[in-house]
Amino acid sequence: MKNKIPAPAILSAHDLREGYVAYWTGELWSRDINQAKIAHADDEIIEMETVAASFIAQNIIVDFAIIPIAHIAYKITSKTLRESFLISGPTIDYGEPSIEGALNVSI
Amino acid sequence: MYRYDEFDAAFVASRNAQFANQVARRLDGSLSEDEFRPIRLRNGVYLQLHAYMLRIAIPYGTLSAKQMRVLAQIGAKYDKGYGHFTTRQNIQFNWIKLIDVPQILAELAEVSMHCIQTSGNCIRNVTADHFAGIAKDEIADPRPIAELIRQWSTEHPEFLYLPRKFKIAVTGASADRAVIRAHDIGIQIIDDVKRGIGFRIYAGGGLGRTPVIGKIIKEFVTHEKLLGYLEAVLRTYNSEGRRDNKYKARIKILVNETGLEEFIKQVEAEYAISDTSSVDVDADEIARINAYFALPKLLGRSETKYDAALNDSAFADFAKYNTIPHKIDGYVATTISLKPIGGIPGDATSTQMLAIADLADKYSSGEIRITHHQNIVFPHVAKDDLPELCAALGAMGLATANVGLISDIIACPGLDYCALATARSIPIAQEISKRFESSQKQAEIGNISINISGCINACAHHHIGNIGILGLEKSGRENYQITIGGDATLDMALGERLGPGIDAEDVPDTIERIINRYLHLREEGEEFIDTYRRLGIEHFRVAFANQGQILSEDL
Ligand code: SF4
Repeated sequence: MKNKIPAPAILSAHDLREGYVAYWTGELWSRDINQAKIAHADDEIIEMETVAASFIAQNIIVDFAIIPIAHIAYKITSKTLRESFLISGPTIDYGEPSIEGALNVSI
Repeated sequence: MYRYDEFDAAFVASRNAQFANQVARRLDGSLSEDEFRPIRLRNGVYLQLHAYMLRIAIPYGTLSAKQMRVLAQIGAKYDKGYGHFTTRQNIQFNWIKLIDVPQILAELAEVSMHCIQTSGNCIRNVTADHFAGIAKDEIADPRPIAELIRQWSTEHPEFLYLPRKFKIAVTGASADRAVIRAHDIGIQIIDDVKRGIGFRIYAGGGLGRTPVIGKIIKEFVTHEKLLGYLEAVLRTYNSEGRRDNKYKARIKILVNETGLEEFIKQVEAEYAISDTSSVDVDADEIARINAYFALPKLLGRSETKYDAALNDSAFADFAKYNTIPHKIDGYVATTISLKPIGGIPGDATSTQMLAIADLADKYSSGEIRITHHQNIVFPHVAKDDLPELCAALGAMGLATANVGLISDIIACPGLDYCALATARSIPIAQEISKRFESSQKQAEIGNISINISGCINACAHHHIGNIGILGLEKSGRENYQITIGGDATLDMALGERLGPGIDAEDVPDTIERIINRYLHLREEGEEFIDTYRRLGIEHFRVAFANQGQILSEDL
């Protein structure tokens, strides 16, 4: 597998059952970006791709991405525009969910 | 409203059972993602930027209060408490878990709803004028025809694997409110002096990376032969459309590459050899479907309360912008704007959806429409009930009086949700809407459309917005191209680009300068599109050039 993404980078994917974004921590998948393992070299990125392929084969994740990150001081930031929104989540403030009365409607 | 018959119900139930089984097989690994992807897409399940998204069909934009209640429940139980109404009259939920989809489909089926053919290379949800059956300028209600097409196209074995997706829209009025010329096939109901009521067929329209305005391919088709003719168009496309390059696979490319005349010839040749007897529609069948769309019994009502309430300026604005006259005197169709100032275009919370359902039962014979502008319509409101309805909507944040005005912005989900996006749309819409918050200013500007797409796929129809905004990525930053002069009516026109792309922060200022320029240049009685057509784009370029200034010196 040829690596084209420059280090440092992290591995993200979608959890197959729920679809939410998760990050590879080096041991497991976490929803918390701050737990993400950072690959600092090309061979570590290639290793991450192998990890992703194995979890895809086990039907645990789907649609993985290696995300190049900008810096790692206190916060992980993607170097690419699309992935920066993948990490941040929607930038819209919805406030508290408004579901009053809607959990069990009678039809 | 149309009610599913036994065939529909049995079909949806068996399809749901099949998909539940496919989901289980995907989860246990019997199906790979490559095998499962086309299956889930054909059932409306996308994997978006942050999660799975479920798209639910709302055929020709018509919903019952009961159905809206179930949508509210799905938002509350399986999503984050809101749903997004789209420019194709569907609804999308952005945070659905794959494991929940079979149960969601079962709950939808209880109210005759499903997600079948909301994605994939097949005939998609058929859309129609949201004022169908109500509007005074209507020749005939387009919904029975849209329903006929829905029945014919659902699981049509020949058209499940077309070269690309295929969208059909129907209008029955003299004013096109269904953007038929931006569809693969657009159907216009006409009343021909000699032949009576029939259909004019447009084909080859579509926006996206190659925007094309649909052209007339058949001046007149009868009710009886409509499906037979559509089959001939679809067969021609299915056999001649390109499958080697998905960017060139839509019917618009085929029509352009073949040439309109030659394409028409090919369709006619196909039609001539087709045995249409199995899809010919007799008058009884038309009458049967028409009966489902008969107007509810609307009693004569006084207008005293309505007249008195007009003294209140907020109510008067609501009545002016958010209602249109109904075919029946004393009634109006009322649009509920899902574009509050600074809000998210097309979004409604579960609580709002529930309130809308209850209010529809009380004030609109239980009937609701979804517009391609991402708003909601109560089709049958007695004028005398309007003050009470307006107050009830106001309490839910749903009485913004801005339909057709500058803050009634069409926007796709963009990079906040969409896996294909290159820039955000929603925050841009929010900022523009806040910039033009003043209702006096909006009234002064008058009728205008702003459409914002988060990528070249143009789901928000930016090419045909009077002002179109296309979000792209440039050097790792969001960058926005502005077009003006687009028109979504039967005189459809594609907007012209004003200049190079600009940063997100500069968009509201630029739009304000364009508007100032228009206010300065317009003549008595003109709307934005009229001024643009009279003067052309050059008169607006100055507004674009002077970035950073929103001053009267621009004028
Ligand atoms: S226009 Fe692009 S960003 Fe917007 S919804 Fe369509 S595909 Fe997504």
